[in-house]
Amino acid sequence: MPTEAAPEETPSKIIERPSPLTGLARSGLALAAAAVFLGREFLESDGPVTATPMLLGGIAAVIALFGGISGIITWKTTTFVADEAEFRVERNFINRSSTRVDYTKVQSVDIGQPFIARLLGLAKVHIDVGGAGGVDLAYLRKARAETLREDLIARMRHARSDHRDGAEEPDATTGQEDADESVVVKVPARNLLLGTLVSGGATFSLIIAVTFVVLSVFADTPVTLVAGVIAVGGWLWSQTGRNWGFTMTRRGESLRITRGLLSTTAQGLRPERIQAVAVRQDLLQRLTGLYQVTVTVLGYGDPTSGDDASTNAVVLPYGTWEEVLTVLRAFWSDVDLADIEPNGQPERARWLTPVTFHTHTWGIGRDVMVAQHGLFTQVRSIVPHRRMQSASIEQGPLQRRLRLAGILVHTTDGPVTLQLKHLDEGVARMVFLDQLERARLARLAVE
Amino acid sequence: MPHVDQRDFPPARRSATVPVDRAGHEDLFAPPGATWQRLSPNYLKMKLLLIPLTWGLISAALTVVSFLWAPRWVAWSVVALAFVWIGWRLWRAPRVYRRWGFAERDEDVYVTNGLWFRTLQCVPYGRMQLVEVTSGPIEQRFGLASVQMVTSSTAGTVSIPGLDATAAAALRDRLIARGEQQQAGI
Repeated sequence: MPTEAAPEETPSKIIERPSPLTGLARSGLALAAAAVFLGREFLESDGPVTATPMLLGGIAAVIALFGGISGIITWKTTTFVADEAEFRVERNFINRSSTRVDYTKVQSVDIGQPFIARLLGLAKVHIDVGGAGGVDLAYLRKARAETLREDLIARMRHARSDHRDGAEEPDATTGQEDADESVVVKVPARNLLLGTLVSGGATFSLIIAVTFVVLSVFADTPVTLVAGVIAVGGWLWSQTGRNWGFTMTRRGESLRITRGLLSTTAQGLRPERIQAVAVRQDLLQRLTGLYQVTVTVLGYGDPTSGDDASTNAVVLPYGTWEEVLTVLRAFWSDVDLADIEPNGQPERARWLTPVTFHTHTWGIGRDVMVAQHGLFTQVRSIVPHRRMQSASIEQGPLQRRLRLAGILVHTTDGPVTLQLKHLDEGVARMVFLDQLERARLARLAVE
Repeated sequence: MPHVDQRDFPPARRSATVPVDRAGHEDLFAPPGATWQRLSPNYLKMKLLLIPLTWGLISAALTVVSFLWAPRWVAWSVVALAFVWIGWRLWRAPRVYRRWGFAERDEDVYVTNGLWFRTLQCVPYGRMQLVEVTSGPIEQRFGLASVQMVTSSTAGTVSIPGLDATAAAALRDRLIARGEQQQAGI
């Protein structure tokens, strides 16, 4: 029976386990709920025992049982090693897994204490390694969790300084407070309203509003009217109210964004944390010539999920092309989109993109890669070479018949994706290999 | 030349970095300057066992349902379809298996897979945030494990299934070791 690289390879390896109380911590909340429901039922019932609390209590008890069992199993089957050489978590239940984290990649280490765990003096350690996923260790004794966190952070610092003298650790927070603050871009109310109202989104909400009005007139129920007003109003608010008075200023190396009508929010933005940029314009916005700019920034999380995060990712609510270029220059001073020559698709790609054929272009500059797609909503994605994570060539059966292939450039999770849809096979291969080389050189140049 | 919005992208000199010809055309999915390492033959054996098992169970359930609540001809065609489907999957399995490959190079790993939808992905060692070796109960029976390479892009996360369990752990350690040497800030 082959096993993983045995932990006992060196005598100094200390193999640790989570706390034996994990089972209790897992089931604690459900256990408490069961106790409350059932206990109250037995203590306070003067009449006949009612079914609902019993049922709820029963369900909670079953959940507690499962939580407890899974917690005990977790405790029994999880081991971890944290020493100078490596950090590794082994799970050995039905699925066997062994996760090893590169110390240099640790972004942050958080300690979480849910209520029950706090009562038991336990804590959960979450190790964040950047965009996709991380490692959870649940539950450790509070003290051990804290020492583990300190160890991990110390080792992360140590590992990083071994390779480079903190080049990637810009301390933008200090020393630049006294520098002058200059306005990069300010969005006037006219542009904000124009961009919001003359847009595909506005047309869509107008259609919804009309539908609701018609419905409420015919069905004679004002409720639907109210719902319609709320829906449309909410959309309008998120577009204009939150971005009212949008101002981007620069102070030293870091950018600052303030926005909001009722409550002004200020947000710091360090250009070196920007992974990718998307410039968006829908069909109606072409009339007004306004664009929206969103960014993928490390640490903003997934902007598509939360409301605040999705606003945060917008770094220019609506602006002219000139303003878009100004914002881009503020991010990357040496990038000039005008230098990047757009390439189209080969003629035979018409078979696969009959309507949108002209809208797919791509180009490669000295520092960035650009791709543009979309007829109704035109999206231009820009990814600097040095921010590329990985890349792939994709080819479906139809593309193979037409000798076409696509390229995906992966960046940190966020609102921006970069894809070259249909390229000639040979060109795709060349672009792919060249791009990997460019990304490699760009990474080296930084170090 | 396709139409391009000239206002946004003024015409400029042809970019020297992008050769747009088919000269030196090579296999789209070949590893550059290396040969593919293949998966363990046990992976194919496992697939050949799992395909009839899982699809058999699914189609058995469907068959029972359709014999109870649907006309006879529907039920029989479900049976026929199930056989055709399982046969098709079994016939394809070796070819799918042969499409899998990975190549460790000095600074990156190439992974290729897919029969109809083919991909070739390259992940630099410096970009791997964590590397995971997993092995389910059936995989353990066959002495297999898969290696998952997690970067900070969910879309770019790849996993190599069906490696020999010891080879998988060794691969994981090699990947991490090289990643630590060549780490790159995100």
